[in-house]
Amino acid sequence: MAESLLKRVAEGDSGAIKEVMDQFGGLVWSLARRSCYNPADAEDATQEIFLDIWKSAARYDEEKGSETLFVAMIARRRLIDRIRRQGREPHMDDIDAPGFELASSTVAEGETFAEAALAARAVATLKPDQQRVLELGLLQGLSHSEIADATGMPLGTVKTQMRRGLIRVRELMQVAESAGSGEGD
Amino acid sequence: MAAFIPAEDRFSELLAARALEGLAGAEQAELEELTARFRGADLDAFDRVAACLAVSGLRVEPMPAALRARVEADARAWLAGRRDTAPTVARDRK
Repeated sequence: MAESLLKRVAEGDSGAIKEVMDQFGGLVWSLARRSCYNPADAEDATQEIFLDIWKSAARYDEEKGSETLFVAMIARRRLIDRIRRQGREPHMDDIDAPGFELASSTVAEGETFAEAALAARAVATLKPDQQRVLELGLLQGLSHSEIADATGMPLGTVKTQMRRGLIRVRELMQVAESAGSGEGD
Repeated sequence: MAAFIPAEDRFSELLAARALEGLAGAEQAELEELTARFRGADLDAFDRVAACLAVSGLRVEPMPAALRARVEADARAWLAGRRDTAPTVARDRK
């Protein structure tokens, strides 16, 4: 099996940088564009995220998920930090969550596709309010207060529904993964 | 009266909250306390689920070329900085 790109970066392989950019540049940029108000802010965020990716590359553990998920996880953490630092004001334009569907233009493929499909199926079983807040938060990139403004739900309810929804999705994914790993026994 | 929440449930709740919107000071401190109590827990599990959902519906746009050039320059500078310190580390190990 080919050595992971992130391990190569951690070992100082400068050739791996270009490959990481080819593979994950669009992913990080698109996540940043979704969370930031303007392209200049998204560009700053993207530079911060990649610095974090280079520094964190050694921590990548392929047993815990794909490189795509690792990169997306780092990107999300950095974007959340930025939103908190900026104390972002709500904006109400274009509130139209696309839903947790896997389309051909998404980055999810292979192992990531399977995990994302599992997660999307789990979300589909949640209560409508939980689905809605998770879609607005995770797909639309809205903060909790922005979701409260968009839906008319109290802020505390938004937080509770999102937390419960994510916990439930994780539980359902664990059950499905256990069932899947037991099939071959 | 506040409802009683078992520590394990509260731990999951805080990890989920961190994955969704980050934590404020008091909740971060509470999470650190619970992390010490539940050693060996997978602290990134909820971040991975959130990342999974975030990429599932993402429409990918190519990164602008000028930005990509800056990111690659940052990476080269970072790698060069590591190389400058590496021999010292190697000598120290001998």
